[in-house]
Amino acid sequence: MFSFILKRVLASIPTLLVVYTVTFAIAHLTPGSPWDSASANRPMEPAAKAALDAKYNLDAPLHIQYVGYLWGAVQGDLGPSFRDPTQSVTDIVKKFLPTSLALGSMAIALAIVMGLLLGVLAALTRSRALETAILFFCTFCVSLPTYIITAVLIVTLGVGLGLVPTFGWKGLFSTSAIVPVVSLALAPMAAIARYCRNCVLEVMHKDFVRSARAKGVKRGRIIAVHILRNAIIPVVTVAGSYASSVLVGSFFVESIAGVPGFGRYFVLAVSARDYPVIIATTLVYAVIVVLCNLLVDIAHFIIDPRTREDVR
Amino acid sequence: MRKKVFLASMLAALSSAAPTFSTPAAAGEGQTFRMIVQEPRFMDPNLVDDGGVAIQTQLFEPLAKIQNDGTLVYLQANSIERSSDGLTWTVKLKPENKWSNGEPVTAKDWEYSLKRILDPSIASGNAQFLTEIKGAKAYNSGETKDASAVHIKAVDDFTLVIETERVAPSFLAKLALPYITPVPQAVVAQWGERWTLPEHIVSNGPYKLVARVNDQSIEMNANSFYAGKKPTIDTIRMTVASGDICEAQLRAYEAEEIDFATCIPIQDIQRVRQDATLAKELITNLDSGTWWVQYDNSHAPWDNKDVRHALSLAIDRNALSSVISDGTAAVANTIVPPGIPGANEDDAIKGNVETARELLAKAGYPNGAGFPPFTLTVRDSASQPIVAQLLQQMWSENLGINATINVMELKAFAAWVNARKNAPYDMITALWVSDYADPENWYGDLITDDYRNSHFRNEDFASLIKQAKVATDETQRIETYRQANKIFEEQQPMSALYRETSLWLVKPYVKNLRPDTTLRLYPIRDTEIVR
Repeated sequence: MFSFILKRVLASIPTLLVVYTVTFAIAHLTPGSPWDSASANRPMEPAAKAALDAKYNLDAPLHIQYVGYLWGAVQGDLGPSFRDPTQSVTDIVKKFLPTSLALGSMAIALAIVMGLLLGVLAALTRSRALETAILFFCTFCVSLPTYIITAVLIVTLGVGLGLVPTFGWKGLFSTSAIVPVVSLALAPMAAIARYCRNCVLEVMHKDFVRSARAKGVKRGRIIAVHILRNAIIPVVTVAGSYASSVLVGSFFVESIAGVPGFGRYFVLAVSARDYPVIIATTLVYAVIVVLCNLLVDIAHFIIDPRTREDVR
Repeated sequence: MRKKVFLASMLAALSSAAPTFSTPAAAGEGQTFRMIVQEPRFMDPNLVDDGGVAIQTQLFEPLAKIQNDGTLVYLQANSIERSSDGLTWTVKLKPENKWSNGEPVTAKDWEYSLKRILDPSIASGNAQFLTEIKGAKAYNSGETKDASAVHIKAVDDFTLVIETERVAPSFLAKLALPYITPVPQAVVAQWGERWTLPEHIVSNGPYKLVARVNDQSIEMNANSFYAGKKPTIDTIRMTVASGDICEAQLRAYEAEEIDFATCIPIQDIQRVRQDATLAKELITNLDSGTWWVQYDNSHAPWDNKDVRHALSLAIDRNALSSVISDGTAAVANTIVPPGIPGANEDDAIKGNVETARELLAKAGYPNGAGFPPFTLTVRDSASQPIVAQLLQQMWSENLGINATINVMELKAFAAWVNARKNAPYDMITALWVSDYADPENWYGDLITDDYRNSHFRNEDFASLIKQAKVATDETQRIETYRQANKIFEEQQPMSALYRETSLWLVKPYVKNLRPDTTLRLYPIRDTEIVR
């Protein structure tokens, strides 16, 4: 198990290096510099631009900047933010990532619980109408873009009913979290529900389930121990891939609902050409994707004994 | 046990996600004003050179302001006097002015701040308002590193003497700008760039910053040391939005979460104007700014005046205003807006679509035949891609010429326009908003200094502007600008399109919230909440 994890961690290093290189190149190739103001009346004086370039080492050749930033990042120094010189990039990651992680964890937990419930219900129900309704609801949730769901929820729950604030963030355990959590949870919930239903239908006709039933095992125990345990394996894979995108935050959901999260900050950094923040946020995103994949593998390792055989 | 540790760490992570809002004022403690703003690019008032000045103006106070009717009102200054030769300006400060930490605001603070604005290492966009000061240009361009060569001097605790390079009649208007405010020298020296953090910052205006969570919220309380008219509203609570701030504002306004919205999304203007309640709360103010389409006057076919006239006369400006603002934007036939001395709407070129066709034929392109294909480049804002499509359609239908549209992301567009100094292009749409109500802000900064790279050259125009820039007789000065305006409109290097109207929504219990000065700022100091 340990060597399995170690191998995966080592394999992620070249991945992160490629991510760094590509992000560095794209950030610097994008037209517009951090100092071009999109809103000011006047262009910046050349002397002032040169002073800022020198201050942030942007006057150095690109390969020196490439190596310099990487060397700093390896030592834990992610550099200053151009957009807000009072904050370092490390401060920004510390400030904005927890909000997105907390929001994303809540959303993915809601998605898993609701997804499994709906999936199992759709598979086991004898009512054709209920099954169709669940499947329709799931297709609906998967197809709708999150920014539409967020806007519709805000207009109905916020402007219309006054149940939640239309904008802003007062923490995870407040009404301001309802809209972003539900918006983020709906698509993964629907995907999990559909996968879960298909897997349950497949597993419930397997021989070992039939034997258990023949031996007189109770229906509840058959579902929990024999069907769900086997049906959950592909569901974990789906949940894992959704978790990596939900955990780092969605720009649309965070912008529309006013959540000061990591996803929103990333896009603001791109608009501001805040190179250190762009690179650092992309790297953090890459690390989270790698971690989520690793967790999925570990989960498989625990749930599915066959994986353990493969690793050995 | 391990489970408990895990749970505890999860809870810690979740609680750290909660924002560090300052304790909100309980009911009865005082009035709170709520609004939504965009994240300011800077909190340092010496650096703010864009819309963020609306936030800064609550915290930092300039020497004076020029009101909408043109009268000067002193704020931090007791008097600003010009010497008889017109070169020396003596500013007497009010001795009772205090920073929010109780320390006096001195002439030394002002000297430090004005020189700081000019310091190229802090790269302030506001340096351009102070370049008429003797020695300022050389210091700002890095030619000399010696700040003492700049002729700004605190002669005693409350007297500041400024010398200009030559007679500069518009200098007073620049000194009275909300961009030109002092910073506390001692605090900046102690904390460096981090002096703007809420725990360090001190300000000289009616409010002081008490809390700020980046990209989330800004909170201000009344500054008890402020010597001017005390504000009635004790707390200003600003929520920070990114993305479409107009949409966030309208939703929050309708849900009674904010007291004031500064704009309405294009798609909602009609609904708001037809809604019985919202229509009553709508306040419209014509901005002192103009959107125009600008040709690269340095090459064919745009160096031909007939072509420029033809394109301008083929535009249906009412249709533009109707589509992008439900008719709330004002049609603009001249570039310099009314209210700026020298501007005159009668200078607009006359004619109609028929005249336009004749002029294009005269230029050698009858019915558009042989007209080279061209590109109209615009920024990716809510309105400009629509404006571009309308212009494309109008020119195609009325003149038979075909434009290709190129929409660019905001920063890429700004960089691209700045790079057109020596690179040819066809045309762009552009905007200028008056910083101060003096013709120099338009004819000098925008047109002669060519900030938008129109490459317009005209000797008669240039010589008039040169004369006006140093004219000491005010009537003569304005008359010279009036002559220049005639030439400018007749030459038509850019064709005016429309002037935006600010659409504010203000709750009925909010009183005295008015647009102030040419920049249409809103001093919350003068506002009251009457329930």
